[in-house]
Amino acid sequence: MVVLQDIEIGYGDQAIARCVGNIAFAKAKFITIIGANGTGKSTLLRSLASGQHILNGKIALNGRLIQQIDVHERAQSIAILTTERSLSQSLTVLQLLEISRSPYTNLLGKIQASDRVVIDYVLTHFDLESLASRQLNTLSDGQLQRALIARSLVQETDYILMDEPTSHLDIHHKAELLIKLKNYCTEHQKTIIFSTHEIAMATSLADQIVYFNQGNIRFKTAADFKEKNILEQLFPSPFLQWNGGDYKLKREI
Amino acid sequence: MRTRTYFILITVLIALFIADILLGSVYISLKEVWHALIGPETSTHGYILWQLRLPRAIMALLTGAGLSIAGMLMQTLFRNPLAGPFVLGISSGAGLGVALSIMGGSLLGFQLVSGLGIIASSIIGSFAVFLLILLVSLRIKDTMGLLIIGLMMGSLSSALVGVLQYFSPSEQLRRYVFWGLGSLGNISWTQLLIISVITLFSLIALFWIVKPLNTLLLGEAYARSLGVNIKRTRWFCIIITCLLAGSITAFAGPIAFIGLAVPHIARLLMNNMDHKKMIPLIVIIGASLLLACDLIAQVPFSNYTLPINAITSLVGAPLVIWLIVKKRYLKF
Repeated sequence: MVVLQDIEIGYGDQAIARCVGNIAFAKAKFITIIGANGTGKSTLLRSLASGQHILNGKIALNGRLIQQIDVHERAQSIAILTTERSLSQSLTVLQLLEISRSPYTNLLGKIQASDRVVIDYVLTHFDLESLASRQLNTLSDGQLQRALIARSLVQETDYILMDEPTSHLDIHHKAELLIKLKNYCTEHQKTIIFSTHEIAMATSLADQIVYFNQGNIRFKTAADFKEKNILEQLFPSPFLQWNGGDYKLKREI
Repeated sequence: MRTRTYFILITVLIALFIADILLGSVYISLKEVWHALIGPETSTHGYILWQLRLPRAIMALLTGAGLSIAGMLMQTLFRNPLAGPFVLGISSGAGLGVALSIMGGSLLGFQLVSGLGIIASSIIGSFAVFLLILLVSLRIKDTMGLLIIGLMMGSLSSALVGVLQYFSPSEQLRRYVFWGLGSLGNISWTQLLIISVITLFSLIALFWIVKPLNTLLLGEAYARSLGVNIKRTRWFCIIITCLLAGSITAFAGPIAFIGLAVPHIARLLMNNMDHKKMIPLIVIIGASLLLACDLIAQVPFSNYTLPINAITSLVGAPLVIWLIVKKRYLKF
């Protein structure tokens, strides 16, 4: 269980978002984070991953403060997919996945049969077998994104944080990915917390929704969220006509 | 990487090592080498072998391997294909340290002539430059900025050295100038022992950072999320690099391009970034390349010896250019 308690996140002494009271992320849930640009989605994910950018309040994993958990132990509980892509371009997809098993490997990082099983499972499950021996610089943006998502899964953690996993993917792959991730959560009893701008897909699939409204971090079940027409408040736009989780473009203003 | 390639590379290394012993101003045949090795040391060839050729060849071996490992560590740490002990000014820092101890000491009225004193000042010099560059690299994420600062550190060091030279007596000046040309010769067995111990220690220490180095290939954020203690890894890299580059530069003088080029040759050869596999390959290639350079520098069958630093640049610079042209970009 990850618990956020009266937290305020931001940079330096500039807070960008806060939550009053507690928010708890339970096990085996598919949770989406939505909000407009610059509201603090990535910052919240980074705070959850390592305790950076917490200005006030606390984030605890199974009762222990996130900053106080040893980095090695934390690597076995929380994995993250970031939007940053400063990876060595000559790694192959397989090497990327092998290195990501390092929380479990020995001093020299030797890959054991058990690691191989996990890697193979993720490769087949996310249609990456044909790309396994390709170097990262030969992949398209979308393929690289799928490889990085696979990377976060081979780490086999209870909590997987993803910053915009659907970016760079075409609409078919977006839908496929989110459905697969949702199934992965239930099958493997993992919690995935992801930010996205694919609001329609995310709100229809997610169990729970974290949203940023005027600097406040709120948390609701998906049913509750849809019922209250919150999207209209989050993304007020003269160009959009909101209708539950969906929208239409307004042609004339 | 197939076993056969390794076999060929090791054979080449051994052949170069033997050639480096046999060839020079005078040719010593294998038979004579054998006699000199088991027989008394009194013969001329025995003297040449024990006092000149053998230390020199071993020094080339250690220097090539050590500088190449230092280059690899810096390229991974900065995730920059152009990093290397020479490019980033580490060697210049070591040079400044040596200049201060050779020439500055005499100005202040004391003399540091012992080998350990020179090693220590060289290591401290390289350490100081490395820290400065690291400090800057924490603020500037830009590769170009880093390289320019490395270059600036180089010219700053040489300017300081120039000032020192102006004021120092001719004897010390000569010593420093000869040091600056780079030489693998004139190494005593004691000095060789010091460098062997440092190199061996560094190679063993590498075991502890093979895995963190591999995770660093994913970038620092991912490395941290995989449970790597970035700060500790960074310090480990810095200390090993400075020990290697500092101690080698202290005796052999600044030697360019080996540290930059060898890791790239290794990556090209095996198409794998795993440091566990790369380290032995880099050691073999680095040692072979410097032995080959030393062979050229000795100009076999003549009375000339060329400065080793000039040869490594003559060989290394075209090699790096060729790598860039062939692969379009230096891989990282």
